[in-house]
This record gives sequence, structure tokens and C-alpha cells, in this order.
Amino acid sequence: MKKLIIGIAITLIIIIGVLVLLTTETISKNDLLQSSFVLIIVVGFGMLVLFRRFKSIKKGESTDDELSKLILQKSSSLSFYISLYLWLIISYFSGKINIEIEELIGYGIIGMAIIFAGIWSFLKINGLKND
Amino acid sequence: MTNRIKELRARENLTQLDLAKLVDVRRETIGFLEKGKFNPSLKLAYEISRIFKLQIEEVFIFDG
Repeated sequence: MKKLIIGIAITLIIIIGVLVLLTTETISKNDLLQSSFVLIIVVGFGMLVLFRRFKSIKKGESTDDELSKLILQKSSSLSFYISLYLWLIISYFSGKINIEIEELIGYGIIGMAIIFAGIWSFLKINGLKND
Repeated sequence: MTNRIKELRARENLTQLDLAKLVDVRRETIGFLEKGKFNPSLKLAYEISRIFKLQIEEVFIFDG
């Protein structure tokens, strides 16, 4: 039930985000490109997780065991920590280069998504040595 | 920490997927356990030991 509510909430946020984007009067090519990139990463990641779950259900094994939960927790906390440095770098460069603030925020969000996906994939392949 | 899961699984003629289903985890988790790339919770260690009808310390060896 909890997972269903979270799933519905995320779907609603994405739909509202896309609607806001589409109803905005002027969408620059760059904004559209950035939003599409984030959407591709988020949807791609979601599809990958769903595909793995269906595969597990088909095999009759657990879909959400303690290692999966640990990997998700670890990648969330690590990506949050690394993202702080990313935003620090972005804020440092924001005054030095001539890029719109919205564009910089877009790059930051893309960076966060890539960092999370990278750490999650790394831990999924290499395991989590939790000594 | 090392463990004897692979050896005991072979003795019981169980595949990784069989054992995974018995202790309600993913097959990959058993693979990582066998390679020593993941240390299980006490609950999972107990469940695995119970499948092999052994004490936890007979399956999982804490080597300091």
C-alpha cells in the first residue's frame, strides 16, 4: 500500500511537471533538452527496476530483499552527500560563467540523477561489503 | 567474515535460486554472500543456517 502511494505520488509529480512544462508559454530548446534528459534517466531507471522486479516475480524469488534495500539506502545517502559538493561547484561557477540560473539548476538536477544512477549501478554490480 | 554457503549448498544439492527462494531473498544476494561481498543480517544468517540444520557459527565464520 505504501509503495503504491509513493508510486502514484511520483507519477503525479512527473505528469504535473510535464504539464507545467508544456503549458509554459516559451520553452527554449535547451530547457526541453534538459527536461527530456532528466525524464529519460528517471523513466529509464524506473523501467530497469520494474523489469528486474518482473523477472524476479517470474522466477518466484523475492523482489525486495535486505541487500536491495541496503543498496537503495546507501546509494541515496551517498548521492545526497556527493550532490552537496556538486551544488557547491555549481554555485561557485554560477558567478563566473554566463549561463542562466534555470539552466544551471537543470544541469544540477541532471548531475544528481546521473550520480544516483551511477552509484546504484556500481553497488548492484559489486555488492555491498557492510563490515 | 567468511562462510560455507557454497559448500553446504552443493552438499544439499541446492541451486542459488533454490536457496534464495527458501530464505526469501534474490538470487544475486546468495551470489554476493558466497563471494563474501555482502554480510547478512542476523535474521538472514539464522534462516540460512536453519536451512542447513546447523548453528550460525558453523556456517558463518568470523575471522576477526
